[in-house]
Amino acid sequence: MTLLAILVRLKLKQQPGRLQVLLETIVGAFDSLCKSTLGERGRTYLPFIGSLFIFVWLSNIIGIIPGLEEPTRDANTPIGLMAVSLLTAHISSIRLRGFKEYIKEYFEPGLRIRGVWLPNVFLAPLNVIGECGKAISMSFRLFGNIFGGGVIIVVVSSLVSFVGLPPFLHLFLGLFVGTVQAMVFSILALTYTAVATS
Amino acid sequence: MADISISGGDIVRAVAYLGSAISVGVAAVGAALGEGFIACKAIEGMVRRPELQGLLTRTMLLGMAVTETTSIYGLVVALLLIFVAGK
Amino acid sequence: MAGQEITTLVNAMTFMGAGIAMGFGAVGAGAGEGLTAALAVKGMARQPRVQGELLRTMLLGQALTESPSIFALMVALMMIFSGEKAATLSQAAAMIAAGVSVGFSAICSGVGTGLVSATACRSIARQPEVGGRISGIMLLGQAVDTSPSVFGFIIALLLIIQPQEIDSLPRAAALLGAGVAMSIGTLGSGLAIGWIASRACTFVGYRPAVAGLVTRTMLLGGAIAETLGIFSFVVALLLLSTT
Repeated sequence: MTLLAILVRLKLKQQPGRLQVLLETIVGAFDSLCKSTLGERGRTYLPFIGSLFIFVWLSNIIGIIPGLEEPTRDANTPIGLMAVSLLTAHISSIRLRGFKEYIKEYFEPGLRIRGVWLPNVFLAPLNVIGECGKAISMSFRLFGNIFGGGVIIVVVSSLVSFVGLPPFLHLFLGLFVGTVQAMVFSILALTYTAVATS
Repeated sequence: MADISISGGDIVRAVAYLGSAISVGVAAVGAALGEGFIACKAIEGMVRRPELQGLLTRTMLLGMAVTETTSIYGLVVALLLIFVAGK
Repeated sequence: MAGQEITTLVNAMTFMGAGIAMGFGAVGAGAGEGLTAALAVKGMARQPRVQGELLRTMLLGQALTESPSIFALMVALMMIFSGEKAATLSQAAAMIAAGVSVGFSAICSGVGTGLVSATACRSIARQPEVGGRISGIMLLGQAVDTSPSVFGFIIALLLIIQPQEIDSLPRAAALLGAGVAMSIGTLGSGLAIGWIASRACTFVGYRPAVAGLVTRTMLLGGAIAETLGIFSFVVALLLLSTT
């Protein structure tokens, strides 16, 4: 990825080449996404979300090149990515809103009795479980899509003697699903951060 | 009844076949309903604005393709059950 | 029962469980994704100038709706390719329970999340200026709606991974009960959270000024609707830890 960035930097011209336009489009799109979701403050997260997307995207797509396997196929990669994204969201929320507010969040919704806010003890463990649910769904969505796609390609290839089908399927699943899932992952990371810091 | 001896392996294969039927059959229900609905709305749209038929057809096909993927998973599991489990 | 018969039963239930998992797991997602694409197409007919945004929203919504069935796929694959299993009645019960757990919990999660993205597409077509806000709420709502199927997924994983050595009828019934609890308990939550989030998407289009309030209320209502699914989850966990 670094190589790619350096390559584009060196080739910056007034008349942008195709690669540069592509990257500029991606960066621009994520810039506006971050700004619309998080406000002006959102721009600080741009590098993180942008690189998250590009990393996940490239990891998912690499499978198209024969011989290379996607890193996201292994269960550990998506879990690691999820850990990083969620840690960012939680740490940002603590930094921007203070530790007390952060803990209070888990006791939402509280009861308001004559202006005094009572923490709702019942919902605290449920909220925590909900957060864990979000974490698990994020990582396994990515993992399942890529890994499942790989398995399906293997199964279909071994069952179908018609030559044209497996490469077509491989292309569809690899490029399309890989791109969409990368987008989903990074946008969700962004949205969770936004909710945590609002 | 005639003297039929059913071995354990037979039962496993029988159940595997049944499971395969459930997998692909039930999965198809959802996708079929979904795709039917897509086509309905596409037709409604084209009736309203016939000049958009190119766009609507493209989108309809794309939406149907994505909707189909889940029932393809059902198909794959069904095939696996027939060939792998049915040994 | 004789040892050979139990092994047969275990293997049979494994494959049946895989079939149930994938079959029912795919229904909800299919219907939900179809609903999304349908309303997206209709939206494009209504407002062709937002076709780009509608297409993106549709694909994004569909991808999120697909997650419950991906969980089901993984469970089904794990069950088909699992190796040596304990030859006990409990193991057989565990396998079928796993299939039921992940399969049925994916139905309503799928339909619910599909409902959210469908109404989001419709609102974007109606009020294209508020597209960004609507997408944001759609994503949040869909993320919350995936939770019921995550619970079903976790229970299924726990059922599959642990070799069930304890061979007793109560244990088998407990495992079966865990699967049933998880499956039926999430039916309601999946639909409810989807309904809440889809209303949120619709109405934030009408009055974008109150988007913050709508979001908070949606998350609040969604959390409470989710608690019922969490109760099932907790009961399932308790059943799993009995002896």
